Amino acid sequence: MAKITINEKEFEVEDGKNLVDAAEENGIEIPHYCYHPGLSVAGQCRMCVVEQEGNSKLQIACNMQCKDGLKVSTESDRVKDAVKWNLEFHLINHPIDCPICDQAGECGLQEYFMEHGKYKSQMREQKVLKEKVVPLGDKITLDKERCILCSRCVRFTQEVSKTADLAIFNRGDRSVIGTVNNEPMKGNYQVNTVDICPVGALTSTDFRFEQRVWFLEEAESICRGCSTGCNVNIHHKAGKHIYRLKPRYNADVNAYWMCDEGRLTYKSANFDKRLNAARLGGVKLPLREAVQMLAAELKTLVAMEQQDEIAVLLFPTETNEDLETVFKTLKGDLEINAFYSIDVQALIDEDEVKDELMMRNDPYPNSRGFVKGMKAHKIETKNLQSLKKDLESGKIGHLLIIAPEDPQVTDLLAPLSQATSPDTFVSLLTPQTAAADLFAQALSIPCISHYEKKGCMINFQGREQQLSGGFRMIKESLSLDECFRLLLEEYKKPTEIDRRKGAQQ
Amino acid sequence: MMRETQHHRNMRPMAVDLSPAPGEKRILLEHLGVQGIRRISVYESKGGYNALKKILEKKLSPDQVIEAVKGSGIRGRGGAGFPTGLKWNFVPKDQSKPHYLLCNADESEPGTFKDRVILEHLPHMMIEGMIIGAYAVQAKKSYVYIRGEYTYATKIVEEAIKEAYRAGYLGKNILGSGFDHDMFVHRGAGAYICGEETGLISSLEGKKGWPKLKPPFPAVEGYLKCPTVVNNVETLAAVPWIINNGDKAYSGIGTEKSTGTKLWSVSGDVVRQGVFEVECGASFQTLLEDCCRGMKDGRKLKAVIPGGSSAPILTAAEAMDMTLDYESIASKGSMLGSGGMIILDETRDLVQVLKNLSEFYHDESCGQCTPCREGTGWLMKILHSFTEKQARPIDLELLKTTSNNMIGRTICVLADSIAMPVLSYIEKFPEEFDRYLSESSGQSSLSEKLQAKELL
Repeated sequence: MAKITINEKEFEVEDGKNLVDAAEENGIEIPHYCYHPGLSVAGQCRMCVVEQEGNSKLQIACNMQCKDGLKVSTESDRVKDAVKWNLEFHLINHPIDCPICDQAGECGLQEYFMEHGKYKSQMREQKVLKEKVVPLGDKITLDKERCILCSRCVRFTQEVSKTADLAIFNRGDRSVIGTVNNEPMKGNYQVNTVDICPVGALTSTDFRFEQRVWFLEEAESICRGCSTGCNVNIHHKAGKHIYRLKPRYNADVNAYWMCDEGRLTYKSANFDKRLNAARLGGVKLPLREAVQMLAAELKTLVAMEQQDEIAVLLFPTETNEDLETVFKTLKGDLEINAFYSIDVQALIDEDEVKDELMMRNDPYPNSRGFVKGMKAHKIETKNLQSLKKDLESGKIGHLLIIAPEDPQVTDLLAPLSQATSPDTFVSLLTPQTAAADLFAQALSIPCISHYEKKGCMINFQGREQQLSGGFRMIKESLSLDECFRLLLEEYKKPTEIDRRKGAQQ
Repeated sequence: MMRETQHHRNMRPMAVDLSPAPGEKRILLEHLGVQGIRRISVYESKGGYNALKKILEKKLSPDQVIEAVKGSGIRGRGGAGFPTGLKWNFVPKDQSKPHYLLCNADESEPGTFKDRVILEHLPHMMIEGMIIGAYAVQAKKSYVYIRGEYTYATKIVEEAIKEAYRAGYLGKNILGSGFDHDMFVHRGAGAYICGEETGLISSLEGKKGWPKLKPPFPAVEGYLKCPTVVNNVETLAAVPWIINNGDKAYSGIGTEKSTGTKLWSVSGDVVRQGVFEVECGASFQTLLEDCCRGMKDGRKLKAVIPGGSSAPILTAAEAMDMTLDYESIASKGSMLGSGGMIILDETRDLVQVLKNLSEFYHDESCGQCTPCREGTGWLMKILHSFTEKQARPIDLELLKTTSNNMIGRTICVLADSIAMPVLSYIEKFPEEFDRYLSESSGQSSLSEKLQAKELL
C-alpha cells in the first residue's frame, strides 16, 4: 500500500496503481478521454493534468503510478484552467452537432463541458471538415469530424481483439480514424470500440438513430449467448423495449468487453417476436384460464395414474430459482419422471473458448445450474432423439415444453413438432411466437424473456451470477416461477373428480 | 512530403566553403577542404579512425570512453543540449537486452543545415564517432536515421559505411578487439516529427512517427523496448576529436558550460550564408561580421532567430549583446537549439514570418496530443487573419493564451516549438502586430468584447 495525497487529503492506495484509477476509487474524478483502464496508456488527450508537488510542469495522471509520498492537486486554479483549455482544444474543430448525434446524453465532451468548461468559445475560424458517415463494415458507423483522436479504439483492436484493423491516418488536425485499405472491420468484438469511444465518432449501426439515450433505463443482467456469462447492462425504455446491451465490468469474467453476437441477443426479446397472449389452437384465451387448463390437463392424467405419459422438455436457459420451482413442482408434487433436454453434461465436458478471446462452445447460459438442479432433484434427462422416438411411438400423452426465446432452441423444436401426433396434448411455456407457431394446436402460455428474468445463473467458471431484469415487456406474461406457483395452486384446488372420489370414500 | 524542386536540389551536394572563413575555429571541419575527404583512404591519411584504433588497441573500457566524453563537457548538438556523456551513462550496464545507438540525421528544423555538411563531406568522422559511441554503450547495432530529402547525403553515407566494413571498422571482431558492430542506414519519409528522438524510434520501428510518452526514457526503454541512445550527427562527429586530443583539450575550447565548437548554419539577410564552425562563447558579431561578412546590401539588422525556427526570436539589440553559447542565448530568452540561425533585416515583416512558420508547424504536428494537434492549426488560422487584415484586437491575446496553453502540455516539444516563437514575436515586436490590427477590418463587436472578458 502507498500513502498518497490528493487535494491535501491523504489516501491509502495500492502501490503502483494508476493515479486516475486510484483517485476514482476514492471519489475524486480526474477527467480523461484517452485513458482506459483496460488499455495501454497513451497520454494523448492531456485532460488528466494534475499539479504534482515538486514538479513545475503539469503532469498527466494517467502516466503516474501511486507511490508513497505522491502529492497532487486536481483542483488548483492552474489545473482547472489547463483542463478548460484542453477541452477548448478538443472542441474547436468538433462539429458540435449534438442534436443529431447518437452520443448526446452520454458524451464525454458534453459531460466535461458542463463540469469543467462552461466558457464561450473564441474559435471563429473555419473548422476542419471531415467525412461524416463512414461505415466501417456493417456494425460500426464512423463520423470523422466528431472524433477526438483519443486512439482508444485503435489500441483496442491492437491489444484486445488483436484484429489491428483500425489506425489513425494523416497527421495534425487532418488526422482521421480509419481501417487499413478501407476494408470492413473484422471479428466478433467490434462494437466494444463504440462503448469505449468517449464521443459520437464510432456509433453502433444497430443502435444508430434508434433511441435517445436519456429515455433509456438500465438493468443488470447476464448475457444469454454462451456459458461465459458476460455481465451486461440492459438498456430498455420503460421496460417495454430493449434497445441495446452493453458490457458491465467484471474483472473475473468479461472485464470491460463482450462479443457482438451476444450483444444482439436482446433482439429476440422485443415485442415483434413475442407471444403476447395465451392461446389454444391459435385462439386467444385469458392467461389465468390457460394455466387452469394446463393444471386440469395434468391433473387428469395424474388422477388416471397416467403421469408416465407426461413428458417435460426444457433447456439450460432458465435461472436456478426457476429451475428449482419447475423441478420441485413437476417431480416433487406431480411425480413426473420423464424429462428431456439436450445433452447438457456433454456441452459442459466439451466447453472451451471458441475464439481465443471470450466466446465459448457451450451456447447456453446456465448449463452448470441446470445440472446442479437436476442432481438435487435426482432427475435424469433423456435426449431429443429419444423424445422424438417416444413421440412417434405414441407413448406421450402430454408434452410440456419450456422454451426460451433463443432461436437455436426453436430450431431444435422444429423436428419435434413434426413428430408430434394429434393425440399428444402439447403445452408450451414460451416468450416467443416462433415456438408457439411450430405447435399450432398447442396450449401456449406467454412467459418472460431472458433479460426480464430475475435470479441466478452459473457460468463456466462455476460462478453464480445475478440477473436483475425485473421489468415486464408483455403485460400478459409470467415468469416460470409465477407460472408454476399458479399451476400448483390450480392443481391443488379440488375439482369434480376429487369431490366424486371423496364421496366414494 | 518531398517536393520536386527540393528533391532535385538535394540530389546535388550542398556548396560549402572549403577554406575557413575569418572568425571560424575548425576542429570538426578541419579537413573539409581536403580533396576526396569523404573517401576512407583520404580520411585515414588525415588521422581518421585513429580514435577508434586507440580505444580498441589500448583496450579502453566502455566506461573510460564515457568518462572521456563526460569530461569533454560536450552537449547534444541536435537542439536540447543534454550532456552527451551523461546520456550514455544512463544506459544500463547489463546486457539482458540488446542496446542500440541511433544517429539522428533527420535534420529538418527550418534554418538548419549544418549536419548536411558532415553527412556529405565528412561521413567517416560521423561513422567513427558512432562506432565509438556504440562501443561505449555496448551496442551491437546502430542506425543512421537520415532525412528522406537528403538523397545525395544518403548515397554518400551508404558508400562510406561499405568502405568502413571493407576496412574492418565495422562487422565482426573489429580490429581484433572482439567487439562486433553493424551499422545501417534508414531513410525517413519526410516528417519533421521523426527528428524528435522518440518519434524517430517509433518510425524506425516501422510505426507511425509518433513520439512516445516519457518515462520510460529511451536509455532504458527505446528502440524495440531496448536501451537506446539517440545522438545528433554533429555530436557523434565530435567524438573522434575528443578521443584523439583528450577531453581536456575539448573542454579547453569554448566556455565553462558550453565547451568545444558549434556548427552554425546561417541563412537570411547576410552577405555570405553557409555553415560555420565557431568556438562556443564567441561573440555574435564574429559570426555576423567575420563569417557572414555582415548584413546584405548594408541593411539594418532587425531580428535574429538563433537556434532553428523553433527558438524564440531576439531583437537586434539582444543579439548584438549575446555570445554564441547555451547560457548566453538562454539568458536572452531564446536557445542555441540546433544552431540554425536566421538573420532578418529591417525589410522583413515578422507577422508574415511567423505566419509562415505556423504553417510549417501546423503541417508537421503529428496529431497525437490534442493541444498541439488543435493548437497549431488555431494559431495558424489566427495569424492568417492578421495577414489577411481581418484580425480582431482580442486575437492578439488569444494568440498568447493559446500558446501558453500549448507549452509543456504535450508528449514532445513540437507544440512549444511554435508556441514559444509566437509569444516571443508578440512580446518583442508588438508594433508589427499592431500595424496589422490597425489595418484590420475585424472590429470586435460588443459581444466579442464580452466574450473576451469572460475568457481571459
